[in-house]
Amino acid sequence: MIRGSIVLRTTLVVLGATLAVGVLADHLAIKATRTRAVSQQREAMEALLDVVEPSAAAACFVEDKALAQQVVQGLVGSRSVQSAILRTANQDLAQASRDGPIAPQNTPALVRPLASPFAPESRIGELVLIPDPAEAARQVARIAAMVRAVVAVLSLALGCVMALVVHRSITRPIRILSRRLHELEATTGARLFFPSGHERDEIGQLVKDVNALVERLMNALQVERDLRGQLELDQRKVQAILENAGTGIFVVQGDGRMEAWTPAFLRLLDLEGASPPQGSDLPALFGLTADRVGTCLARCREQGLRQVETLQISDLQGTRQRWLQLTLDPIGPDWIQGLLEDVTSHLEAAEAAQELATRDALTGALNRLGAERLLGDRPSKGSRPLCLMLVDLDHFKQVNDSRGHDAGDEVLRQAVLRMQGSLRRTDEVARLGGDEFLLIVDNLEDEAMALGIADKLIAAIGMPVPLPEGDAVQVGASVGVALFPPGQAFTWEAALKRADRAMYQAKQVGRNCARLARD
Amino acid sequence: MRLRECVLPLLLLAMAPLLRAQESIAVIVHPESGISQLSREEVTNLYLGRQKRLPSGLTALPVEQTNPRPVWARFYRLLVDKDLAEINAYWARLFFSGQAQPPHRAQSAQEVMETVAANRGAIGFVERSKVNRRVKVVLVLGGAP
Repeated sequence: MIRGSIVLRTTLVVLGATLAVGVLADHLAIKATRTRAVSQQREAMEALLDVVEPSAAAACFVEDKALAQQVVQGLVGSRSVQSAILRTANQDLAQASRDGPIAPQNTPALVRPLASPFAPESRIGELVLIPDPAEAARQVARIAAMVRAVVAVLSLALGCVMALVVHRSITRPIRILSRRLHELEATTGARLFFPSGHERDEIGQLVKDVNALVERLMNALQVERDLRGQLELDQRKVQAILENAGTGIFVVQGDGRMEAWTPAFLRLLDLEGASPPQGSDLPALFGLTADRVGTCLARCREQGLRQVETLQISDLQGTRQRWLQLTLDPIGPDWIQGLLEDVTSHLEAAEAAQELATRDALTGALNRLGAERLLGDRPSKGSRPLCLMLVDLDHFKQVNDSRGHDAGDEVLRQAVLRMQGSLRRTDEVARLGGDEFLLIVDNLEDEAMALGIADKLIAAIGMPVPLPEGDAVQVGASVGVALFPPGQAFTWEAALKRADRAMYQAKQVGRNCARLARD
Repeated sequence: MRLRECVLPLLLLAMAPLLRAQESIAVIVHPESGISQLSREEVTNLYLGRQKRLPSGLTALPVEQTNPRPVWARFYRLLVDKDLAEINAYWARLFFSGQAQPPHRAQSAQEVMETVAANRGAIGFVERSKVNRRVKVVLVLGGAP
């Protein structure tokens, strides 16, 4: 209650302070009054003595007890005097006291020596006055009561004034402000208005500060609103980009549990109709290639580096093959972000380009580059030797010259078909240039078998080649055969030279035959 | 010279009443009062009520002469150096108790003389020139020593 009200607290403090001052004033006043009262009493008694002295002297002079009694009775009629004694040198003429007998007094008695009325130098008696201490006390009490009354009235008045002032100039404005603050719609930018009469004082300053605060808050709120709007817009953009991206984007925890993904991710994995894979294991979503995905994930987690894996996926019917490229990027402790891209078309395009570069357009056989790439620096893939046969058509130039290039082209096409027909499906035919061909026959039994194939080949090529005009042309073939056992050092140029030398020998011995390279 | 010798006695004669006013006053008692002399203090005590008996034991009867008034006043002036108003005020204080009586008042020196001559305890005062054989002077106030 006291702590809850400024008015009450202030009033009590003021009351307390005035009361304290009052008590001090009371104490001082009583102290001063007491001395003053005693001296005043003494003065009053002296004055009384002055008045009665002649009568007292006369009574003493004639020892008139009746008169003496009158005098002392008159003296104790005064409130200052407790008792009075009139005595001559020999006897007490009269004595009187206010109440009862004369009590022994602490206060010193007032003694007035009496001289003879007719001989001032001769002392004939004395008048003794004993002051009434109660009178001084009464005087003191009267003054003290007055002081206390004044202090009480003063503190009451001060307290009232303080209460009024505090209430009017502090508490009421604060209460009004508090009520208005409660009702204030700060978010709409509403302002607090000044309690009347307080525009320029501390309360007014408070109102100004509150308004400034409201304004700052409003500004901050507006900035916040703008930022949020911008953020929402950005998020929508990102959302749109993510949802429309052909690339599947996803986030997994380190252990492979799915956290977030884009629609494309599901589409690429043919999971669009299935239940959302929240928390499910990433590798499990990849079906047959789950192992490779698991390995890739583990590698990414352990090395903390980007991992790229290309995976072949068959759709449900198994009719269409697709290539998916999985990219995993660690993005902080125990989080991995992944990209899933359909690279089938890329691979197909690359394959087509490869085809273009390595195939001979006329015959569909490999060209020199294709052959070179296919062989590389490698001898046999299997446990048995690799066989290279260099084939050169005989008399092809004459066909070309006499029957034109179209006939020559037809001869070349037929030659390739016939060579392919003489070989296994896994063997390759390459046109090195002009009418020169290289046959790559891997994993061959022995030399005899190679020569057998070569003979078969020569026979096939030697068959007449029908032309569109209805007639036919005939060419021959010289074949150089070179065998390269597994484990033997192998270079493209050296291998080609070896086969070439064998082929040259075949030409020299009369064409249309095969010769084995012997070193 | 002759004239001068005549003027002085005439002047003195003319001033006689004035000189007589300055005449000393004699306090007198009855010849058989048993007192031959009184001090000024004793006279004061007797006249102002402090002593009610003569030193010889007789009840005192103080008599004061109020006429002529200058003699009355002169007596108190010489005795206690007070004027008559003061003496009256003094008696006024004592009057109501009735215990002390102011002196009996006589209208003339003749009456004083007769009262004193007639009472053994009486005491009075007259101008010294008025004293005769019927009274006894116990104190002389004022005048030549």
